[in-house]
Amino acid sequence: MIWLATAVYLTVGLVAFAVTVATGNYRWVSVVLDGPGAILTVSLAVLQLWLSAMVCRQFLPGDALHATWLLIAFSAACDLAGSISVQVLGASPGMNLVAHWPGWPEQVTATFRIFGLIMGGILRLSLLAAGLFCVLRVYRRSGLLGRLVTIDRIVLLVIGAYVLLEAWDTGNALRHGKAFDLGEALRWPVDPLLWLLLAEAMLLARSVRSAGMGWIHKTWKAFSIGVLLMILGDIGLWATSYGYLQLPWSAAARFVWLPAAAAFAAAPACQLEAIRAAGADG
Amino acid sequence: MRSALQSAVRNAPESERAANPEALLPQVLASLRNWESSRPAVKRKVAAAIEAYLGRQATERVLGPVPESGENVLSTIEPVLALFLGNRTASRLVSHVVTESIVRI
Repeated sequence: MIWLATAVYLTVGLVAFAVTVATGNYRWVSVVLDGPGAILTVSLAVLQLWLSAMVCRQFLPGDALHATWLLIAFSAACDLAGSISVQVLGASPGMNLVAHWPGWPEQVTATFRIFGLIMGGILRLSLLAAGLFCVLRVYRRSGLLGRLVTIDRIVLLVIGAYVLLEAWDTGNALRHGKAFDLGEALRWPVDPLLWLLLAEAMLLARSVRSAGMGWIHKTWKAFSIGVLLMILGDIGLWATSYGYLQLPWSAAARFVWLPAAAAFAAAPACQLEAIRAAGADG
Repeated sequence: MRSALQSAVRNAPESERAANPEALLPQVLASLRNWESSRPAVKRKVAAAIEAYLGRQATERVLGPVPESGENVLSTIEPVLALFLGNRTASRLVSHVVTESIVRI
């Protein structure tokens, strides 16, 4: 169901994108992204939280993955809070139904947006990075931890260099008296966190690949795909903000976020299936 | 093993079983020898049962140090399954593997 909904959304998005390219009217893509896209993003965040909470209940305190799934469930809760805040309560009045209420201060919408950025950015990513770190420790304990290959190391080096350059630029700008608003400042730790998540996702993907496809590894494969798509989406945002991606391609890049959300929702579903299959066999 | 012994007892004539239980001994021993000779299958059967969960290469790696006779096979796989599935689920799965792969040989 998760992948079916995602496939339908992407098909509709592709049609809207084609119409946008043909007519030059950005509104087609915008309607799909801000309407069904926002609803699906929030729905997938709800599903991810619900499934992660269900997985948590399957592990007892003391189990190796108990802490991991707690961290992932909290990360999913932050993602949901962030999605609702950014996609609904902090959205522009067209999509934000609450903003139509009489007396709704515009400042509240901006506050929700910042709150959403904190929840869906630093908090969610920190918890997810901690969760995936615990999983990698479990892989190491089991003797099934994979190894990064040369291309992985090169990608990590390039993105690491970019993160360092960005930090250097930000430091320089601060020294020269540039004022950053809260929204910008809150994005500073996001890129280093994404780099850490990328390293973890690559190591997880290598471990899964060297293990062979079993129920247990499908979960972590889904997480590594989710992280890789999320990073792709972030690169799209960066390319758009620096002018490397123009309309309509910048809008096309936004379509990456939904498959990422789908992968994050599919991951706990795979873990539940593994546990249920083992329980049914037992 | 249980099924091997049950079959040995079942195959003995009824009168022999009732009159002289010691006469069953050669048949029981023969069944035990048969079971002993089929022990290499234990490792293979356990591997087949857990492959769906661990993946083929991972199963080979985990069961690598286990001798073909299947000694310590359960104490080798249960901790690894418990890491990924939790102690409760792993214990249920291992019970199933014991029933399917060891008791029924």
